[in-house]
Amino acid sequence: MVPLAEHGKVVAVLNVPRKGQRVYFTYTQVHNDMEFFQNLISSRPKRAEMTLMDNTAGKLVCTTKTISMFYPDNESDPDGPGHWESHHVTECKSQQLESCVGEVLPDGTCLGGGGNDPGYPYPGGGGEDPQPEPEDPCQKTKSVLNKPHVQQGINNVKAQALQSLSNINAGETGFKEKKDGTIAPADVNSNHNVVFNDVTDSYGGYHNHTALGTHMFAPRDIAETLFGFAAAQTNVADAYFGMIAAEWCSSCPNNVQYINYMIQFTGDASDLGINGNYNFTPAQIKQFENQYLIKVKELSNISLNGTTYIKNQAGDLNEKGLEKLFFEILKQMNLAGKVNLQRIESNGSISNVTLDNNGVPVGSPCP
Amino acid sequence: MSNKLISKVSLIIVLVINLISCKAQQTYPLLTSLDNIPNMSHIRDTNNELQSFVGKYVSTYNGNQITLYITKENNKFFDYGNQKVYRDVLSVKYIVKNSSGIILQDTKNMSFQQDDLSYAIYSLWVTENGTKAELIYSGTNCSVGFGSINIKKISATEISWEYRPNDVTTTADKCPPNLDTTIYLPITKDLIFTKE
Repeated sequence: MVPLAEHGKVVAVLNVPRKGQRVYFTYTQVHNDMEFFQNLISSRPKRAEMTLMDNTAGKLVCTTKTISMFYPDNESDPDGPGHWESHHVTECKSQQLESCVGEVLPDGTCLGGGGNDPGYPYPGGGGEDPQPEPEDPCQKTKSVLNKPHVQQGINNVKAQALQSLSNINAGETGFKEKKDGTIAPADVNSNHNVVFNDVTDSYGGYHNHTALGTHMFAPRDIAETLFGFAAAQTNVADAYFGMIAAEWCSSCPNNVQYINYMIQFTGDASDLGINGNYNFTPAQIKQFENQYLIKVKELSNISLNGTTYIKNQAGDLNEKGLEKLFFEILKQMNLAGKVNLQRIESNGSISNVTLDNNGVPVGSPCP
Repeated sequence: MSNKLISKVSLIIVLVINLISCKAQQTYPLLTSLDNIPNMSHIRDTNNELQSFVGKYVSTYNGNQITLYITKENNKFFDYGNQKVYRDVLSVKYIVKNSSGIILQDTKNMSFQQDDLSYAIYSLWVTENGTKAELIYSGTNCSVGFGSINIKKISATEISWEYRPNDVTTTADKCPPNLDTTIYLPITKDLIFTKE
């Protein structure tokens, strides 16, 4: 905003909004803006004269709404005695600003027109539209994984996962990406348990599953940790939670393969929180965890499923098995279609994992 | 006479009800996927494989003394949320003491609520020619340590233990920090327990 003054008096404020690669010039005479600049120009605060209120044949239209609310003396007796309070809200809009996409002169005349875009090219824009906040899961995850401090946190989690391969007591670790741009370790990082005391100050986080455990998100990872992060976002789908595990692999660099998955909640914000459908009781969580354990046993049992879902004689689940387990558990938790699963390959590429028509997990690589 | 008639009619009614309920509640062997059976099914130990695991077993690990109390429970009701089944199971309760004999955890003398899965260890099925019982453990507080347990008979008086805990994440809201979340069961494999 730029003040326009004549003889030391602010008579208008020039607004220069940018939309994509174009900028637009509009003059306004909004009282508060003019007064703000007038006070900056003059050492002696004084009110700018409001001339537009009564000029230009009603180009500025003000409406005043009166909102009255009844306040009962006793909250538990809303029909009992109480009192009314009224508030007045006045909103003024320049009709020209609404309809004019070009210059609105102080007298309200519109200089734009002809149906053409009256904007001017934004100088120095680099030829590309400014990047909007990424909306699709691929873009979101790419931008998360590109953050240097998140990468540093992920490297720590990977190191922990690797350590658990050779040391049964190495344990579990986790970090969260805080909204202030830093990362912070989880508050409890013990043998098979990670606790985040506060998830409301963060976008998401990452943790490892140890070599002994199952290398896929479990019910609490979803319903307590991810949903905790999600409930703290303006857009619940912005939250994420990642899991990394290490497995021996004879054909991989250093004989180690990293399992790396990320999840986001894509359901309604109203389903989270204390009264939400997905605020499960401890007993329900135990039921889901029992289903999870049973499903792992079923998928790894050769009599029931052959070797479709296992990678070795010990019955450890392969990629298909882990992903199948995830979708089975979502179904049990009535969360089918509400949590997005992404696989992060060792080269950093990302795939969205979904079930095909036959119920088989398939990955669609991100562009 | 009329009393006898009433008894006969009652008997027939009971038989008919039994027939109907038998049809509704089908029976399946232990090694059955929950995917393939209707709600309220009965998963039975049709081959009588569970009984041979029953007993009291002891071992020591990292200075702790672990006692397992393995019993058999027939037709136990399990509520898994979306699915409910009756299952013949081995139930494992345990007492873990440290080297001074102080009890660290005792689920033997804990009163389990009906349907409460906390601290519980139940078998699913038996594999490897009836020698290996596969069980699941619901974990301690906040489900920490929930995981898989395998018990393999290696002689008439010995079993081999394998326990693989999963990894939990949660928030302080859901898991208050004052709860004991230590895993007291031995996280290891090939640990030999001796029958007492």
